[in-house]
Amino acid sequence: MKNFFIILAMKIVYLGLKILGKNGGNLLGKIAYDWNPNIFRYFKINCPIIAVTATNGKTMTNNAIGYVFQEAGKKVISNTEGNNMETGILSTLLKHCSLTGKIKADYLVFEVDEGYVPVVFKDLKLDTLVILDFFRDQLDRNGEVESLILRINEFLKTYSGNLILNNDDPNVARLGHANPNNSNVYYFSVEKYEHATEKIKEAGEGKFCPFCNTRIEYEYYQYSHIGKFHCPNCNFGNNDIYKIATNIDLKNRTFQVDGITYQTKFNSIYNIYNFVAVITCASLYQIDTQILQKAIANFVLNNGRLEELSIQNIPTIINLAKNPTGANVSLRILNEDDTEKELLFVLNDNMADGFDVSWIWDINFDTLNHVSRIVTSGTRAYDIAIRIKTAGFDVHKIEPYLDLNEAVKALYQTNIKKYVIANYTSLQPTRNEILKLS
Amino acid sequence: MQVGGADQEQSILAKDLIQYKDNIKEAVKEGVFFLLICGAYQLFGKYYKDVEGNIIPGLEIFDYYTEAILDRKKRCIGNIVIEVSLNDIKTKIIGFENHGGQTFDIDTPFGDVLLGNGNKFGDNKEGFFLPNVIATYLHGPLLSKNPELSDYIIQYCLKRKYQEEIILEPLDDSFENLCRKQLIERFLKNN
Repeated sequence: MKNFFIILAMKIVYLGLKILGKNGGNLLGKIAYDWNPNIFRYFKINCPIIAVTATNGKTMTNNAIGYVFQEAGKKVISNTEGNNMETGILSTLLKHCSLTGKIKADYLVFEVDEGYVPVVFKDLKLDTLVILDFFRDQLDRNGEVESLILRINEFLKTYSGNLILNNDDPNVARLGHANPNNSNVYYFSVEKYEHATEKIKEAGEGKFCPFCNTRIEYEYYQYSHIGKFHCPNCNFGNNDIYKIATNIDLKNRTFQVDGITYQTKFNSIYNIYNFVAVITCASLYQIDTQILQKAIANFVLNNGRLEELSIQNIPTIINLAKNPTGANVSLRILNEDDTEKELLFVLNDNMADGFDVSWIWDINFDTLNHVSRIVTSGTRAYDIAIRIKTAGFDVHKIEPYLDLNEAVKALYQTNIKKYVIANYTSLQPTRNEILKLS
Repeated sequence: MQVGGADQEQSILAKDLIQYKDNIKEAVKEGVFFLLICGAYQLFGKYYKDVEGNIIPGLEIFDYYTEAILDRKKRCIGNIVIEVSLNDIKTKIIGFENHGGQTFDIDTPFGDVLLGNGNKFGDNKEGFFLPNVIATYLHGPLLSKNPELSDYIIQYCLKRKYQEEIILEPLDDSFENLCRKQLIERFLKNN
């Protein structure tokens, strides 16, 4: 009975929020969870639940899976706005359930914060879990990445649903061994792309085999520690691949899986990994390939995540980077573009960003391709300016501004193409400041 | 220079390093400069006692020791500012600390804590100092944030190598100084 009233109360709050034109973020879930942390058990869900977790790429992959299933005519409920902790997922459920906790959908698709998978799916039955990657991220909040992986590994020991794993990330591939009785493990991979390297180019994790402590060997690195690897001692990493992307062409934004060519609106290697995960997932639910092909061709994210804009006729690319790997892949996109460009890097150190900004020292600023000027801003504008200066970039071409408005104005004083990298709390303010000029 | 790392890497490293214990002790005695951060700071002490009470032996170069705080969720995390004395000149050092270990028995600390924790929760002392050893929980990173400290280390090493007083040619530290000014004002505002 109690849960009935909690849901009723939350429905009323939600109605109020809607009248005020607000979405409420994770507010509903937060109130309900404080009221009864076991409320997840109350929901009556009769459709498959698909979850995506990772350090980077959760939102894109989650939204792309939801989009593909919708295009296939399915009713999908999803947390597309990125509220991915237990209270955020609870909010999504509360908004869509009946007073008796019934949820009518063909699929529930959730992105879940990598620290919250065991919490959320203690009481919700998970059908498919997609794991993309684990990188160093907000050490002051999450601790070492290893402890995070161990918690998920513990959860997976008793999990027997579909498990979709990136075989090119040793931190992820190892989780396929968590439950040796689970026959539903599917590995995906991406063939070597044009800018792959023999040596690691950016900071990475997992240099040693988690099973026998031997140094892992790589045939090549795609980016960070993502690449073709195996353990020379115990053969860890040598798995049967369920889906592999081949013929990666980032210029034309195409790749192939099972001989079918996919066109996308994205031009980065990490997006290809996300799409192969999406294709793997769609294949497990028998989504028609033509629908999949069309959905992937049309899928976009207009929220400052690799968003392409034209501001006063100046091409501008904005991307979120909240950890070294996120920033490094953004710089890869910049470096793979041979035209002249200017960079704006905005770095905040608010609570949601993590107070520790030392992660910027794991960003590889060493060889910037045709970057003629760098403007920095955010509460840590000087920190990032110093980082870039230390990498050898001409100090006279670096302009730090604590004030974001001034920084954006300074950036658009020239007509040169812009790349903008902003971290978590600085992304939307930066995007808004830029959009003001258009 | 040596820093901390994830547990797996740290234990592989510790096992390897312990073979060279005597050589390291000798080098410290001869005045070779050591900058030890976080895990390395702890490793150079007598031991590290983990949450379960297991004793992980250190290199026993110095007499201090470290114990993990029993509550796993508690760590000394946050921005930190300390005041140190380098060649008798007082200067503020800015960094970020993130450690569960509490280090005891330090006679010669690196600095006085102005903001943050230091060697233990709520301590007023941070790190361990000898003219040729700076052991600290501060990353940040330490050197780029604190040009005076970098100069001290460079000067010490040059002096030791060439056996004469070296005066460093000034570098353009304008970004570093702006950064220090901004952060010190911000961090110490509420203190």
